[in-house]
Amino acid sequence: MRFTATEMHMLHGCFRALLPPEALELPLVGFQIWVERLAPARVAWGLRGVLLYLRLRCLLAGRPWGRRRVTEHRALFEEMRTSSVYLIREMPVMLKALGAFAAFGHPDTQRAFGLPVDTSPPFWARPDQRWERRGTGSGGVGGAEP
Amino acid sequence: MTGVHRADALPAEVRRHGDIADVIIVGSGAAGSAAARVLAEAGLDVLVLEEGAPIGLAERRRDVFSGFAAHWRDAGFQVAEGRAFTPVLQGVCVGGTTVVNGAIIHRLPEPIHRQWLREHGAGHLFDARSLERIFDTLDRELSVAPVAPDHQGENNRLMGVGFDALGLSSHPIARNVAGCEASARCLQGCPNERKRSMDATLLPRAFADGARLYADCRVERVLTRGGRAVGVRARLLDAITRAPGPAVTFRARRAVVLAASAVETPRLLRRSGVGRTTDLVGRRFQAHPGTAVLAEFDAPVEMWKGATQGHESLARWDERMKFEALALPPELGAVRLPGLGPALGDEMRRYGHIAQWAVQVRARAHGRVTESLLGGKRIRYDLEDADMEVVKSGVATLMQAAAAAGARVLYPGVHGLAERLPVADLPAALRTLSGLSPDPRRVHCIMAHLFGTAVMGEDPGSAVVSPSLECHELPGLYVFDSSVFPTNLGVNPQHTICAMAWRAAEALAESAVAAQAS
Repeated sequence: MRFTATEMHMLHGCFRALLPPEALELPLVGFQIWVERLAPARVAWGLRGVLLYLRLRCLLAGRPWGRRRVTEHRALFEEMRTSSVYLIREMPVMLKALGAFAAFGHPDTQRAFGLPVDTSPPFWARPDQRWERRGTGSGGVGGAEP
Repeated sequence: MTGVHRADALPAEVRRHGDIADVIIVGSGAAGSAAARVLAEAGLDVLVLEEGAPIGLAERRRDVFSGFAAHWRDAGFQVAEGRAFTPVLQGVCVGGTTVVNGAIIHRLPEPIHRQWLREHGAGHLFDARSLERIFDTLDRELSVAPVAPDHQGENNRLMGVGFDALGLSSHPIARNVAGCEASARCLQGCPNERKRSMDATLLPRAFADGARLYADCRVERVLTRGGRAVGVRARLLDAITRAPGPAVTFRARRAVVLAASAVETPRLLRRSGVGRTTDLVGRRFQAHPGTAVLAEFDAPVEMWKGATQGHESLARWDERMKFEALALPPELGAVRLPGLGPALGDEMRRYGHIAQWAVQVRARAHGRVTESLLGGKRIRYDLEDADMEVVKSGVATLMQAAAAAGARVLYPGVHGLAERLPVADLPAALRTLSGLSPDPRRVHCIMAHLFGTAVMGEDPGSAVVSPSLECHELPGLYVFDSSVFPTNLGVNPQHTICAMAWRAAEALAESAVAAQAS
């Protein structure tokens, strides 16, 4: 499923609110593109539903999402996280999970937080954003890629 | 290693006209690999069809998102729906979930086995002596041994300290690894190829005996003729995009064996017309839901050093819970820790001092795997109140153990408790926890062990497959994976799945070889 440009922009805005500043230098748009490509339809529709809810909630509160600052977005998410309604309090969790996958899977962010785990960037953060062919070809189990 | 063939590298003849073998096995996880190993050794011509791709060394050095996208079902987004959404983790690659699990080995618990013998006629093939013989063989072939002390790491060691202090027995986990480098990356596929998963053990052995495996090959239905299973129809997938390509027919001279998991096997059965006489296919879905408690210590823990899962406790197994240390990569840790924006950053700066231990529950709840009206599968599952009481009790034990091990802050992960709980507040938190309603929406559970969607039994009215694991409705079609388990186990199932498939394959090989001789 393809997200609209508005949805992609909004998703990026969510990440800006949810992630620490150290993660915001990453090419998160590349990550978003891959989420769009890889997420099963049900998940993609769920994500679209979350973004729609955010827009409507902001609209009904008299201040559209697009006119709010990052700190206001963050405050909205904080409010949602304490909701007694399960679906509402899970929405920021879903978005935060996606953002965390991107931010803390990248060696630059890990280094910024003193976590020496990964050495090379994930595929979505490479300049060519190449989704390499999975596996190593015929007879390749256990073998190293060239 | 020869034996694995990518769909796009198959000979044109096979891509156009398919192939033929004595036995076709659908799925190359614990069950499919064990079956291939036994049937090939018996001299049968074995063809394994695997939807996923083989994973080479380069692909194992991955962050979580890349690893999930490449090796996990639905890119790691598979969920069960109930009152709460629960992620359902399954590998989809050559070797199946054994490539991306915690490498924890347990034999079938005796009380569970006795129940299966008593209530489900499992003694026909799965007597204790046969299973013990196979478990011993598997221990050798998979290099099963307890985690060495120098591979424990602080996350595992501290769990032992905490449980000791509570008077609960615990021990290093027996795992199928050899030469572990303690990099805590089991869940992305061992980056050092030290895990003795199926792609490194039973499959190569099967290939040496002549078996072959076609990867990128999604089986869509079982073919029948004269009321008997005679083959399968599959789609070859594009190696990069995973888009379905041409449909190909594979013929089986003797048998078709389904080993595609407790989620995919019932779907395949239904698409193949099985399940008309009973409504059991896809029902009775069971699992081991689990949740975790994080704890912050003064001294560094550095979860990224040590075995991913190196310590466990079965002290409360009779109460349907099992405790395990579980090292989290930072991506997943960030999801669990509280805080947004800069506050999350503050939490992550202390990540090197965080430990995580989990409780997995032998839940009584039954779910169902069906087809969604929107296309694809739908897994329905809801924890019962009694299960949730076990979850709550398990969380309480984990918090107490962490406090006893010297933690200063706890992260219970329970809606209704503080997200960040100083240890001094633990007594009050335990009282609050015990009074909380048993609502599954209070915790974030994950399910990894799946069972029961095509149960075995003697009565065709109450079971999908016979005690020899042949389909009651369709002769020639066997189910060897954990779909046939009548109940969940309360322990990690890989070894039991392997052993059951091994034993059933021995019986199938005997009858096939006898038929060939006659």
